[in-house]
Amino acid sequence: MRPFPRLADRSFPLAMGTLAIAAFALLVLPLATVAWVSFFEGKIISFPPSGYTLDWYRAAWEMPRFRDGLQTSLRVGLVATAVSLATGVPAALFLARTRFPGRAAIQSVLLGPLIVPGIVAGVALYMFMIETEIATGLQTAQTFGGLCLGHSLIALPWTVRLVTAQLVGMDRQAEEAAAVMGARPLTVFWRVTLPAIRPGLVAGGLFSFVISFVDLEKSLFLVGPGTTTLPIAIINYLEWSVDPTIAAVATAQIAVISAVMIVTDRFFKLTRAF
Amino acid sequence: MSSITLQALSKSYGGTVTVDRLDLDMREAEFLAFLGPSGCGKSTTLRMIAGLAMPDSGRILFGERDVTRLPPYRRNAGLVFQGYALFPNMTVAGNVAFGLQMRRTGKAETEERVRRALELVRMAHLADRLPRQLSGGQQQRVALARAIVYSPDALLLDEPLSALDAKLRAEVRSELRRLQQDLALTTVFVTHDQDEAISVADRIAVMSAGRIEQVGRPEEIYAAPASLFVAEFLGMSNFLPGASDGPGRFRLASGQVLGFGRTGARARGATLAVRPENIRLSRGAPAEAPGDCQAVDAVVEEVLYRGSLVEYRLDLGGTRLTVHRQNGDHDRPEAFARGETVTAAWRARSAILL
Ligand SMILES: Nc1ncnc2c1ncn2[C@@H]1O[C@H](COP(=O)(O)OP(=O)(O)OP(=O)(O)O)[C@@H](O)[C@H]1O
Ligand SMILES: [Mg+2]
Repeated sequence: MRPFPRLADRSFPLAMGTLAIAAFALLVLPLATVAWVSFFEGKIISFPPSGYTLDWYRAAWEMPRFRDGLQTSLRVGLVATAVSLATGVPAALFLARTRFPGRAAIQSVLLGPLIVPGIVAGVALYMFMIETEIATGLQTAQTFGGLCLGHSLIALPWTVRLVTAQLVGMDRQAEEAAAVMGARPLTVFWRVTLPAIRPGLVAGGLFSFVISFVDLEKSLFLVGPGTTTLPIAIINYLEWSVDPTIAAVATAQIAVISAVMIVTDRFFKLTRAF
Repeated sequence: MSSITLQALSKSYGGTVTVDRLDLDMREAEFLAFLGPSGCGKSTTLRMIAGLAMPDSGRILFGERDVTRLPPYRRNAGLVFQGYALFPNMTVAGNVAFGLQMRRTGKAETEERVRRALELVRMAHLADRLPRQLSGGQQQRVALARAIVYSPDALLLDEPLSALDAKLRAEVRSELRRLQQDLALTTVFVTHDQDEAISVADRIAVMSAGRIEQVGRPEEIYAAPASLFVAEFLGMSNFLPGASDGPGRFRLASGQVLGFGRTGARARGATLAVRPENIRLSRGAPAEAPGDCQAVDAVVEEVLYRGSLVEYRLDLGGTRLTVHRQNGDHDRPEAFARGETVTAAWRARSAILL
């Protein structure tokens, strides 16, 4: 005989579903509003709109500050991603596979940028760069290199975290089997370890890019003439005017991030990394 | 193929001795089973042979070749883990080809040998599958093909069957044996399952606390265990407590003196071991008693029907005595009931002092 379903059994999924939808709406509504506003016709943002237009997108594209900002942001994002992967993977391997005194301390320091408020980290980085410039005469603050360095630092913890998670969960015996079958350590890494941690690698790269692409607080201290990132360009613009241009730029920014996510997910199911 | 020699092999982990001055000589093409309880150092020994663990002292030889300090990728061994450890991102054929690729075998030859190895384990039809699309038994066979495809000097198997169900285990076990004989592979097989060891191995090395207690053919070890530990671990035995009472004489707690035929190589002398199938029951003195017949009186406590045999559990002055009587329609021995006092008899030569 089939047991009679209890009330709680049925109402629980219902409550969960409602909550999930509410949370989802809360996440999506602001984004949707920005996208909606970017099509408003009037220069003064008012509801309901008098009509719709694509002019703001053209206007934004024609403003050098936004075009250059987008370009800078893309370049910095790519460099930060590359640096974060190139240093984060060895760091994760070392942290996950070796035991040494101070390991826990290094782990916390690596995860520091996730916890320290962006403004504080930005100030600290800025001061550090100025001090080294005074000491060595080497300018890093307000250069493209310095900006990339700062962004790499905030991206690195993500790679380390996500790759470490994969390493901890992976089957070490596959590596041992490969070694017994005749694979040297480097071959074992390329043919067995790397494929096994690929989900963490892809997700780490993606997060590195996105974190860099949207960073505002640290960039505030690091940008200089000619190296203004897109979020900084937006802030600068907002100081003087609020019109749908800014909504168009923001929507474009969201579109870039979404595109990166969707493309990555196509080649690689992101949910596997978590 | 080559012989394998272990000389005074030792390994400690954090001050605890895991493998303790272990010596072993294996012939070429021999199938040897390491049998022992959990934690006795079987896997550690196997890992040292494979090069995955470094011994603290001692030597490992493959034939004349000293491999003690060689990294795993220079030893030419084949290894199958309990969990198979297949490469999840490679197909069945890719997994099997791996060892050949590492040996820079040509493409055509690789393909041919992969095909043959897969045929040997009857997996050729699934060559393009990924490991996650295979059943446990199929994965096991791929792991085996992967380990033998490059003709290793030593095939090392760490409980390769324990993840399979009983029926499949018996099947793969005999397949493994056939393969090992056809290819003349020197094989070390780690298990804690005595049936597995007995039915598959040329010789068994019974391990306890990092040492080999006894090594020999299954029937040798079964019939003549060297120590109490071996007798307890392999098969079922009755252990009668008492003390030695002159050569070939053993005194039970009751004062009765029994004869015995053998003394274990590592006997302590306080236990007499008799296998349940070597004991005959009768009412009164046994009818056709051989010359060296030893008899005791005991009370039937339990009668258990076990299909092909009946198990009697007797009480012999506080000691449990188990007797197995084969069921069959050729001769019908007497049946005994609970509470009855019976005579249990065996030949002195089947009793072993341990
Ligand atoms: N890498 C290691 N580090 C520390 N201790 C270890 C290591 N490998 C094995 N040991 C210890 O050595 C002892 C023997 O382990 P081993 O794996 O050889 O046992 P085993 O006979 O294979 O047992 P099982 O039948 O359970 O697999 C155990 O007490 C184990 O905890
Ligand atoms: Mg083991």
